[in-house]
Amino acid sequence: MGDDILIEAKNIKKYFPIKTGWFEEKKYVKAVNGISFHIKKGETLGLVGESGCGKSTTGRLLNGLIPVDSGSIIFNGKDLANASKNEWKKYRQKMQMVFQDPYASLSPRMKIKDILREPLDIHFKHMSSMEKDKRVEDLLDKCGISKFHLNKYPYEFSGGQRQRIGIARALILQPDLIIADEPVSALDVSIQSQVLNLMKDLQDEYNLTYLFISHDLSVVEHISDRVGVMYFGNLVEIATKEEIFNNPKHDYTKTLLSSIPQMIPKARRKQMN
Amino acid sequence: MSNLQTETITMEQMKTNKDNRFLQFWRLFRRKKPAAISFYFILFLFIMMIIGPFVTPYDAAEPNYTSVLETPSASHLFGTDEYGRDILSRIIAGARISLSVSFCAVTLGAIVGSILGLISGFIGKRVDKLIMRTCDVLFAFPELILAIGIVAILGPGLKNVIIAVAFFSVPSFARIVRGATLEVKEMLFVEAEESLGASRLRIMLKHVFPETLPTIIVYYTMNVGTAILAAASLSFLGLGAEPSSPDWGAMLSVSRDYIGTAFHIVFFPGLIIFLTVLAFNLLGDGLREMLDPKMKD
Amino acid sequence: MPDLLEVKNLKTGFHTENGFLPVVHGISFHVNQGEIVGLVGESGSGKSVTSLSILRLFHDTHGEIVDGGILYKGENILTFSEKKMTKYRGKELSMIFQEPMTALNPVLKIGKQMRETIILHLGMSKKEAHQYAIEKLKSVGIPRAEQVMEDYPHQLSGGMRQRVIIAMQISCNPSLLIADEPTTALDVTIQAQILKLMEEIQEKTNMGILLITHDLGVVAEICDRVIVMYAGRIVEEATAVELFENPKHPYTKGLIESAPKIGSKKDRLNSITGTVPNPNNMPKGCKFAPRCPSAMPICHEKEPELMADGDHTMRCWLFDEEVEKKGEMQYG
Repeated sequence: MGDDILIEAKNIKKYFPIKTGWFEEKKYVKAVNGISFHIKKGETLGLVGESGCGKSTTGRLLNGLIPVDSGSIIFNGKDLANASKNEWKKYRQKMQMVFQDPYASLSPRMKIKDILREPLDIHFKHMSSMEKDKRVEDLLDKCGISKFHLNKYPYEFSGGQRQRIGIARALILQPDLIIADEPVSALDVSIQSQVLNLMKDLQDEYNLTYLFISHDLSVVEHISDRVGVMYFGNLVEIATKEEIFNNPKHDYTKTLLSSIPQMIPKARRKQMN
Repeated sequence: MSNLQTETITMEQMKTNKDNRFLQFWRLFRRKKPAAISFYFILFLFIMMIIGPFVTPYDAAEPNYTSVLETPSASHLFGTDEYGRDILSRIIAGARISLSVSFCAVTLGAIVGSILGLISGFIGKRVDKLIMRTCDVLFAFPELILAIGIVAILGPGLKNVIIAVAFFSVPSFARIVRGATLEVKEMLFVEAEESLGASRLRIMLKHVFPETLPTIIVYYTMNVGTAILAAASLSFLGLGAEPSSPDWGAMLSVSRDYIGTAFHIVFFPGLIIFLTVLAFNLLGDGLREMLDPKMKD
Repeated sequence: MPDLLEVKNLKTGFHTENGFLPVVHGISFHVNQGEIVGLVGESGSGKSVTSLSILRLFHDTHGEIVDGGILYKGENILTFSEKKMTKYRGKELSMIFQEPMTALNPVLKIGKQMRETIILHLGMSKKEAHQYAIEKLKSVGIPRAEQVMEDYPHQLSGGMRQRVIIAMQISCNPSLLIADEPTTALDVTIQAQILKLMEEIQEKTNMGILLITHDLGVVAEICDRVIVMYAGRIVEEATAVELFENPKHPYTKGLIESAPKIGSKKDRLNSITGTVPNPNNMPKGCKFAPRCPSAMPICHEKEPELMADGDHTMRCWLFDEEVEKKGEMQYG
């Protein structure tokens, strides 16, 4: 059971054209340059890399927000690369996204209640209104937002609370896979840990599978089972987190690891050397 | 039981919360003096539009040959015209015609223009190119010439003035709404909705359109001013309202022969057009400061 | 000799639509020559407002310093005329911002922007300034400095831009450098390089640096002394070693513990519950009390003063001797 593969990416590629002059040769940014990986049911794969390495694009490719140029994505045993619009809609139910910026990812003129009901309105047209309300309330409660806030607007919440709402929205359709793109990067340190704990709790409760995209290695190390390192569109290393952090193989991974601030004061470090 | 109680309390809180938002908006708005004064002035014009005919001191249409071309006095505050009609009464009665013409025209233009702008911005590609190039062509004509051309084709009359003025406000609405749409389209929450499986039509109507609404409101207000001027100009040229009707532009048109002898009969209709256009522009500016996200901080 | 920078009971706030909103509530601290001081806090702690206050950079915002003094080499800069202040900015006190792109003029070449400051403050000729700028760019580790002088800001990477800014800001040999989240917008590997660069420059020039950040990891990397702010107040101040190894205030402890650490086997992070209080609706006593795991009744009633334990100061009732005694009588 635990070894079942939920989603698999096979040699996926995405090149974005760069605007050039009329007579110049067309140029491309190789955002994702043929990468392959899989995520097992119930596990968390962390995807790290620096800005522009293609990790966010990879997340959007899996979810179909951007179509792949080539390669295939196999979700629950089905190839999604050539799926029709309707089929995609069905798959999206089962894989949801959590975005980095909680201030921008919630529709600003909608109440929390309506933001959370919207996915249900789209996908479960036959569900009764009462049932929808109940599901919204239950899930908000699980994510630590009291139901008294249902009629408020996003701007009335703090960043951490908004991210909780964003997570609740991603979970409302009872998905199997959550693609979380830098979900805690915009939050304060003390709030980051709350959200990370929440994500772990929810994973245990709903048996969720995460693709956790982040630039922050310590956060990735904390939450992931396996870690993939991306560099200029390529997946340079992928292994269990123990392997990556204790025994990195690729030079880039080593550089990355040595760059993490260690929380050891300067004066103490100098004594140790 | 206690649960029920807390719930009613929060319901009430919600209500006051909502009231507060409106009140807060109003309080902030009142602090913007030019916009607030303009608002009161426009409100006053609206009241005149409704109750005007009942409060005019004299009949606006009845000629009175005993008091022709009288200068302003206690009995005729703004004086009388060449048929002895009280100019103040005519201006009040004319508010109905002049304002309703421009409002109808701008509303029509705003609806058509906004729809086109929304489609153009959201769908993009060829549709966008087609709509925007058409707008460019229309922009290339001076607005008034375009309106004169349309009235010339359709024939004079208020209904055709409305169509003409609406026609030339369509491209500007389309362009400004397209700009706002393009901006909103790039926002993260639109992508978030897409990732939830929402259809493009749903995203466009439920998420993108409400975001462009403040822009539309601001632009609408400012355009009413332009439309009043355009409608008055058409009437002045004899292409709009009947020369005998108390439309402000028509009043100007008829009275221009007397500009040397009785200055007041040109001055007061001109003044009211000037003040009304100014009021709408100032109100638009004030609203923009409050509503347009780009102007905020 | 006076401290390089001494901030005394600084109170700053903003004029908003709903009246005056105080953001910094009377904070005092100092920065010595040759010292890197970290000012740490979450969003809303008032740390950035503090840095803007020191440079009096409130152009378009409705900020105002309502009380206190800022002494730079013994002179109160709050009494300076705007003209004198302009002369000081860039030459005596420099600032590095979070987003390097916004601090550079996008339509001017790097060379022109650098020369302008140098000519203004050091009175060099254009030619001298050009040479001097190249020298400075090289000193912050920019290869092909001559080439970069001819580039526009958008042609450089984020890390390069931040290096250019640093070169620009240190070109007039300021005595104090204020760095507001200088590495937050950068990648980890670039962050490590920039921090190292700042440390090197500091060692070479012996300037004082005030580093404002939310990231304790960055603080540990280069700071000698650390000031922790919460809700517009200083809650703890100590040397870096003392603060990381022996944090006293529950907030500082919480911050250190809530950051995930590589190699720790903990499944859950010790997080601080709740959120930063809204400045319009501050709690009555200690501002951290509603989130504090060891809050006592007095914490909700009365705000504690800063208490000193040698070089280590904190604003917490837990370390007040009288409260300690009373607590023993009550509960012990």
